[in-house]
Amino acid sequence: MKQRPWLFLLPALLLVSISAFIPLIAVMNYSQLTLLPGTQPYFSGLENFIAILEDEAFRGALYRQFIFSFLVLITEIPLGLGLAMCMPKEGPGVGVSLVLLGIPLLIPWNVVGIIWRVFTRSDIGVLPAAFDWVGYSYSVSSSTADAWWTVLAMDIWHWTPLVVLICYAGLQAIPQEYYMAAKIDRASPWKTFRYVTLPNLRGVLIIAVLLRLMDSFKIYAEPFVLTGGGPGNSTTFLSTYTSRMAIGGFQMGRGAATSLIYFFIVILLSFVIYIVMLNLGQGAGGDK
Amino acid sequence: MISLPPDWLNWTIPTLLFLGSIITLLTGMTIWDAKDPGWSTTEGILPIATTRGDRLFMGLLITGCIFCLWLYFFGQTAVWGVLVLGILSIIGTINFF
Amino acid sequence: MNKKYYLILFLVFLLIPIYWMINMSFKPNSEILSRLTLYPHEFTLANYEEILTSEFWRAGYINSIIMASMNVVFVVIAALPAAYAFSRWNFRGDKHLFFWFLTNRMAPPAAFMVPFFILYSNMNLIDTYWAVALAHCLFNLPLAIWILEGFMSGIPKEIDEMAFIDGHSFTSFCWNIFLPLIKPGIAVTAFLTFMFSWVELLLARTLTNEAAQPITVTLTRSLGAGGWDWGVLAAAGVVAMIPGAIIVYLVRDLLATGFSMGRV
Repeated sequence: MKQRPWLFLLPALLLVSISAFIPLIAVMNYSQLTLLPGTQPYFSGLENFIAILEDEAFRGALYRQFIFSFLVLITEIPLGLGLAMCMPKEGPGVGVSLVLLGIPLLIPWNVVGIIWRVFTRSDIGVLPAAFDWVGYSYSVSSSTADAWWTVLAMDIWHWTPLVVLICYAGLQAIPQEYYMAAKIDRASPWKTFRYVTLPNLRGVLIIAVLLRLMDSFKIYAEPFVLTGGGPGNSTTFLSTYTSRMAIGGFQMGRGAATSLIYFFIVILLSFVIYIVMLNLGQGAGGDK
Repeated sequence: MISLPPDWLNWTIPTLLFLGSIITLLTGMTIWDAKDPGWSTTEGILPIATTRGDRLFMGLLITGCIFCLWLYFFGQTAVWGVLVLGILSIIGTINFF
Repeated sequence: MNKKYYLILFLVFLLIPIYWMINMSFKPNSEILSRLTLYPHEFTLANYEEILTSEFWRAGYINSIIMASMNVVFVVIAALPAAYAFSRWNFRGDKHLFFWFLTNRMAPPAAFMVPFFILYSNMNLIDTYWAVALAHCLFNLPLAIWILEGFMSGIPKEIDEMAFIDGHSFTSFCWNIFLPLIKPGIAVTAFLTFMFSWVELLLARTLTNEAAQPITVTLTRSLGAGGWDWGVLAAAGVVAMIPGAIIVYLVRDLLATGFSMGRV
């Protein structure tokens, strides 16, 4: 009887051990080795970690990653929540909006990059033409600022729909009586939002924020296709850096060490956000 | 393409030690919890309810941070210092957070 | 209500790049590369013809559909009992185990490429559907457990107890009562799982060579081969979008109820 939960968890644990745990152990082992192609691996202790931590390019990528994820969260979450509140509650509009919102999510990530790349090409793109018309010379391949906000706009285009879908689910679950009660009390729209909507959305918002945080840390294909990490290194994020180390480069041990540091940072951030959001606006305890 | 290391898992002693100590910690915590259940309390410094397991996890995270900072500032010199600080931080978080 | 217009505005913003892709897919390369046109002046179906008749592209689609479906099956089968355990019982370390499952979603695929490649080479699974379908569990299983747990917590425990008092065995309770209740939850989970598996590139590219190459990889490979065939790429993108769009359309009612059932 006491073992029953574990029996239920068994398939998931098995699947996780093949798909995550064993590879993670391998990554831990590689991180302490010097693995050069064609030679026997030899133990080099912490040298890989030190090399990574002292690498200017790693710190640059990390710094850009923090800014990027921060910008992603502060634009996509409020935007997604706001749009979810604009969604119709019933009727044919619901289905249509859901399908339309689903579309960007279903395009393979490299195609997303390709679309935006065509969009921004200086000779045939729409954006340069539009900016030219207002007298601003726009170029993803030479201006860092342009590249940055284009990658950001692409991410917002790509992932805000997911936030909308998740928030919409949460909004639908709030009993209408709560809003009735707020109306009877003549609560202002802001107060209703603050004291009825937000607290009830806590669980859903945790999912949305964490999902976007984790996934924005993993962003790879879209900026890679759009800008190739450039101009210079200005749109090289952690994942681009890591994969460059792991396969593009010749030092797999370095790649493994980068991955571990990267993984640690994401776990740390997610844990802090998880704990803070779980306890925000609510006394001691939490549901899960 | 990817070049394969000759033997795929390439076990190293530090990894074994690391996993071993994590397993020992988990077993230890399970036994401790079975003998003296430590469910959510708000006694510590943090204004939120934490179980003993949460505090252990926080201790491990802090140790991880110390490890990275140490490597960055001191390199390989006296890395065992991280171990000492780590044990201290785990004891600290379990008792006071 | 005027707030509806904000939504419409956003949907327009969503559709502009998609319109552009569709627009491009009907143009010959000469028109794409020579000037900016808002609609195809030299309308052509050649791009689609190339995709629909070439074995190369067709294999990509079929492989993608098989892999993503296999992944959905693995994930749902493993996640259902796990989510049930998390939502129904308190056991020692449950929250930590739950968070540990979540951390697997945070794992950067870039980090896992090499170990996966070596693991699956040793198991002789490289370039098979199994490799990719299993590898995608890395980020899909945690999400599935997370979402299903939310749905299941939304169903009162009393329903379980009533069923057992009525003399249902555990299996009959699952089949006849519980599964129908969380069907929308399963639909949402399956949709998200399929979606993430369908669009993933990095692991799929590492683990396949030729025989099992999914469409996302076919797209990148064709980029490398001497110049970009923009028209064909756009057409391939449009076709890659279609299976997903069909799925969303078919399950839209389930999604609407599913998304509205409980906290996700």
